[in-house]
This record gives sequence, structure tokens and C-alpha cells, in this order.
Amino acid sequence: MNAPLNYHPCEAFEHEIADLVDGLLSAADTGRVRSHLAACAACRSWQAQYAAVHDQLASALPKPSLSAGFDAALNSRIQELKTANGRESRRVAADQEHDALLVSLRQQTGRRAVLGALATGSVVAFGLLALQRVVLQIAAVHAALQGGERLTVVCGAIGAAIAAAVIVWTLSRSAMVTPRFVRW
Amino acid sequence: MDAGIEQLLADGRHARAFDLIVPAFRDRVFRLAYSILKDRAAAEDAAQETLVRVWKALPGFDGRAALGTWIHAITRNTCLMEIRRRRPTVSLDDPDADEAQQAAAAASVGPGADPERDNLLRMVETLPRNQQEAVRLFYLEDRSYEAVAEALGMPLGTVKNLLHRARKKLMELAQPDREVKAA
Repeated sequence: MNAPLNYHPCEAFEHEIADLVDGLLSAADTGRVRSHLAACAACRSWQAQYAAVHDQLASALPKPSLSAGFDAALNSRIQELKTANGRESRRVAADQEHDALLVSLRQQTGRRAVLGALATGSVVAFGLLALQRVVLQIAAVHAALQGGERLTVVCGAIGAAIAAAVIVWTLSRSAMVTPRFVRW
Repeated sequence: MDAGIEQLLADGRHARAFDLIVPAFRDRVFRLAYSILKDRAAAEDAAQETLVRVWKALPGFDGRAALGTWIHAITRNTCLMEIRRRRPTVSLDDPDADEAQQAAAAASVGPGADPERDNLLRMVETLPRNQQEAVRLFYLEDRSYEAVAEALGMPLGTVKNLLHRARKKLMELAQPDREVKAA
């Protein structure tokens, strides 16, 4: 490597000589370049020194390899990531389950409100029909009664009507209540 | 080999694909990391980090680039991040910084049993960074231009040119009157 260097190989052959050193030339090109080298001392000298650099690099540059524990260390890191991902997946699944439960409860609450309203309407309608009959009968009785008896019957009828109204109102309120769910 | 892995990826079998990727690519990833970082332990750490990133990103691999090209790009990014982490205030594109890095690397080549070999390694450290990477990788990758081109993400002709210029420069530096002496 310390021989005098010829810096000027024939320009047309410089890259082909490099390819020859690297073993990249076809058989035909190899023959042609070797013929030129045989006839050209400058190229022959340059090729020798180029090949010397190539050989020295091949032997001098370190060729490190992975340590024996590389795969185990990598697997350990991947397992840690999988475990962390598993925890995250379970948390996401729990959140999704919670959301689905809320949706289901809201749907059930809506159905309950509709049924409650229908039931309340039916009770009120039947109540009114019954009240109509009662009022008519009371009117008939009222016409047949005299003085203090009439007052007693009227007061009793008003009290019964108020009690019935309170009962109906209370039932309707309890049926119409819609629970509210708060996520925390 | 890569075709089988890419088929698994296309089928969404990422875990199985990763099991095949590790033995197929770990050495190439390590060698590329070493050619950039020039330190065995740092290169091994970078190879670990690269493969962990590959594992994380595998479900998003869309196959637009070849698998090897994609993995080598992740490797290069990981190594460049490591270099930035070591020297956070210096730009990688700063020529002065490049010279400083070369000087530091040259100083790190301590005296060995073979002075001629040590001298050659010091000369390699004085080459531009892209030539150094090409030279190291070429002799690590069994002198395959194709492997170097894939690893560096460069056309084959560019790699050949880099290596040729590097060798010519080393021929000049190796002359007796220009020999790089040990520090």
C-alpha cells in the first residue's frame, strides 16, 4: 500500500478496473480489461493499489455481531408492551361495556315512561267514566234527600273525589319519573 | 422470505409476521445501525429500539414500500435520533459539526497491535459521513452493492460511486508523504 501511487489510470478503464476488483464484470469484459492491464503499466499499478485498499478494508474494518442475549431482551420488551396493551384493551372494553349499559338503561327508561303514560291515561279515563256515573247517582239521591241528609252526602262525595284525585295523581307521578344516569 | 412475511401482513397476522421479521432482519438492522453509530453497544440498542418500533408500527404497514426499505428507514431514523440525543445542540448538517465528529471518532481509535490497520481505520474516519457509511456497510454486508443500496435507500450507482470515491481517497491518504499518523 505504500508503493508510489499512480493517480491517473486510463479514464476509460477506471470504473471497469474497480468493477474487476469487486468481481462485477462479465467474462467478456473481464477478458477485455485484463488485456488492457497487460498492456498498460499505469493502469496495472493503479489496479494493484486499488485492490490493496480493498483487501485492507475487508480485513481491517470491524465486523461486530449481535450479543447472544439480543433475542431474549427483545422478547422481554415485546412482552412488556403486550402486557401494557392488554391492560389498555381491558380498560377500553370496560368503558365500552359501561356505555352500552347506559344506552340500554336509557332505552328501557323511555319504554317505561310510554307505558306509564298509557296506564295513567287509561286510569284517568275509567276514573272519569266512573265519576260521571257516581255524580249522576248522587244527583238522583240528592233530589230524593231532605235537609241535613243532603249536606252529609254532598260532603262525603266531595271528600271521596278529592281522595281519588290524589291517588291518581300520585300513581301517575311515580310512573312518569325518568331516572338520570351520570357517568363518573 | 419477504413475500411470505408480506402475505402474513396482508392477512393481518402481525404477530406471526413479526416472529419471522426478527430473524430475517435483525442482523441487517444491526449492521446498518453500526455503520451509522460506529459503536457496537449503541448499535445493538438501536437495533432493539428499531425492532420494537417495527412491532408497534406493523399494523399500520400498508405495503406501499418494500418491507426491507421500510425497516431500514426506521433504523436510520432511530440512529439519527440517537445521534441527536447525544449531541442535542449540534445540527447534523453542520459541516463544522461533521468535522468535529470525525475528529472525535478518529481520536476514539486507540492504539492496537496492528499499526497499519489502526492507520487505515483513522483514515476511514476522515471520510465524509455518507462515504464512511457506504464503506462500513459494504464490507459488513458481504460486499453486496445491492444490500448497501437497499439499506441506505440509495440507487445502486450512487453507492458504487460513493465507495469508489472513498477508496480513491484512501489510496491518496495512504501515500507515505500523506500518511495519517496516530495522535
